Amino acid sequence: MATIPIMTSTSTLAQVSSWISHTSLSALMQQSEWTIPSIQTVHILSIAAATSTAFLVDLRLLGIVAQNRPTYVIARRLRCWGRAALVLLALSGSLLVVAEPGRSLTNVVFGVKLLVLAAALLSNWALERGLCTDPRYWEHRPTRAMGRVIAVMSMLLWAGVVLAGRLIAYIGA
Amino acid sequence: MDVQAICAGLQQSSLATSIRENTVLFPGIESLHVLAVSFLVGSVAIVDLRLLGVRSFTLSIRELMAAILPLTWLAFAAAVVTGTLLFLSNALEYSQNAAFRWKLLILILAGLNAALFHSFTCRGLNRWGRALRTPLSVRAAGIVSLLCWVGIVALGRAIGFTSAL
Repeated sequence: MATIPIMTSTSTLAQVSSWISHTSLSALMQQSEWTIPSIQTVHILSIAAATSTAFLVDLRLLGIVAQNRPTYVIARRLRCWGRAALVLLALSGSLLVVAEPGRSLTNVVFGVKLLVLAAALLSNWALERGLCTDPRYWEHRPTRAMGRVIAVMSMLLWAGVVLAGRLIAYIGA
Repeated sequence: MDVQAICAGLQQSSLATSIRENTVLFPGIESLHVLAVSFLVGSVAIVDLRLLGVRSFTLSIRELMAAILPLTWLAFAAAVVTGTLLFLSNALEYSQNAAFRWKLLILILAGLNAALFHSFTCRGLNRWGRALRTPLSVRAAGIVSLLCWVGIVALGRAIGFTSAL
């Protein structure tokens, strides 16, 4: 596995990373060999939940799945799960940063991942806002095309989050 | 049948070599594998939770399975294709990896559980298909499935950490 070193300045991020690595929580997490892989597994499962709920709403909006149920019903039923998944993602992700701050904070790919994640969350939010205003918001002619574009973008962005997450291990300091 | 020799041979193939030695190909295929498994596990979980009585976007189990399982199969196919490509690239090492072997075993277990459920348990679908309090056999299938897939994800993660048995 080739790791490509990337130049990072001794910036604030590097200093924060160094500070975190000296906390007791960070040391605690690095003690046992299985702590980090376990939290990573939780992280992967939450990504599975987050992407699946997002994909299903997107696919329904595109008319590909569950056509006999209105989009807003699918979205409403999956909403709680999607939000719980995001909370778990944030928690497990934060713990992973604390455990190995150098692996993420000083890695440009991690920053890219967060940006793509923000964009993915924004697209989810946009779709949700529409559905909250009017259950058939994305079915009216003016908004239909836009809804489809956002749905496709959402799926690509979530795929991008997974890709960036995997690439952290291959690129960076 | 010498498994080791076969794996060593597979690893020498030009396909395996190009995946292994290409800095972009392996991470790319791996990411697609994670994405496929993510959707596979997520979609299966929705069905499993419904079997356990957790309301989903449709009350009817038959309807839910009809809506979701085709997608699950697609994700599974993608996971198998990407997984096979990944395996080929380091066939010998993976075949000797404890976590990988257990992962395959639990995958087979998940498959058996699903086959049993769809072939036998589902014969009573008309009776309990719209119920939230499902029969024990149905809930057992749901729990076993969930546990298997969580295990598969965990073992998949562990592959990088473990070596030979």
